[in-house]
Amino acid sequence: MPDVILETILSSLPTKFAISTSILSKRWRNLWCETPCLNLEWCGNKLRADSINETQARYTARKMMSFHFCLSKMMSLHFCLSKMMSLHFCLSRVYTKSPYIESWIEFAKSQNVENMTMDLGSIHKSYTMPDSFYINSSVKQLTLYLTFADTMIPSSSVSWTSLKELFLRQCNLSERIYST
Amino acid sequence: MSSNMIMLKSSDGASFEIEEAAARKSKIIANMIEVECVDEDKAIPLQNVTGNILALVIEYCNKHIVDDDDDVATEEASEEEEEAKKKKVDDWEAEFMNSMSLETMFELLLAANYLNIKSLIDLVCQTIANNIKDKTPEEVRKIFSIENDFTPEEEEEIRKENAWAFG
Repeated sequence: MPDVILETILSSLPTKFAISTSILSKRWRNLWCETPCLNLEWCGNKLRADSINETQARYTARKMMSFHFCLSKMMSLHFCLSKMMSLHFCLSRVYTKSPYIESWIEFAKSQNVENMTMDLGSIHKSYTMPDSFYINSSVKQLTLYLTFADTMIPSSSVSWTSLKELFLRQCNLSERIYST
Repeated sequence: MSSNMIMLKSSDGASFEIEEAAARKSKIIANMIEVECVDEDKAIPLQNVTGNILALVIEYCNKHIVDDDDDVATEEASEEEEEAKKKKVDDWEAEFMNSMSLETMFELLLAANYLNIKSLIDLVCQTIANNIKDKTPEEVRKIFSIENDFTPEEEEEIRKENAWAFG
């Protein structure tokens, strides 16, 4: 079975499962790193902020390797990541670790993610979205699940130049924010 | 609508007649038609696809060519109609995939890849993914006929890298 087909199969699976296939054999070792979709939604209780960061580091590291050693592979990866990648992450378990959220937002931006879902669950009310969240030229479809409210109001201007669809779920927004 | 018929020949010598519009679901066959290397009297030989798998591919293409025509004809269809139609296709696909073993799915996937039929590749990949998502590594190895070429030490090392995924 060609690698590209195996990667398509892995793309349909939660990233947790995709990563667990890295122990199957040497051929499967890094297949998950090349899947164009990361889906960290159903990762069970063991997923912590620092482990997400480790995973993110591995995912990125693999890309850098491709950049150095194989140009054609890099090209196809670039295509995958910039055109098709969707990122779906749920961070309700990491509510005290806001730097990680910022790090994921930066990661998504660096990958030119077009389809992004952020579920911040019952994050603490005092959490403020980093300014970098409001400047994104690649995201086309943005879905937010937020239970916090007026902290959504950005202190700087908003620049989502490619945005076509914005879904707000469970968001408690005062009228004030709509006029912003 | 034109209903040019094309002959396809499997690796084990079985011949199948298929509407050109259905055959065009395969980018490979569509390309052959474009560059006119299809002789009306001669079957297109498909060296990598056996007859029983080719029959499944043709069943899929025939089903989906009807759907594509519908899309054009009913541009003004209501949302409910669209949804009902989509559900009908989904149900058909679910039953189609349900009727085959994992072994057949792999053969079908290879055929879809060889013939370059994107939607069929996606359908089979999704079905295989659903089939393996609750399986242990040992079971997945068996399904994909993977030989574990790691030493126990190497395997342990990989588990540590992304420990959360092995919980």
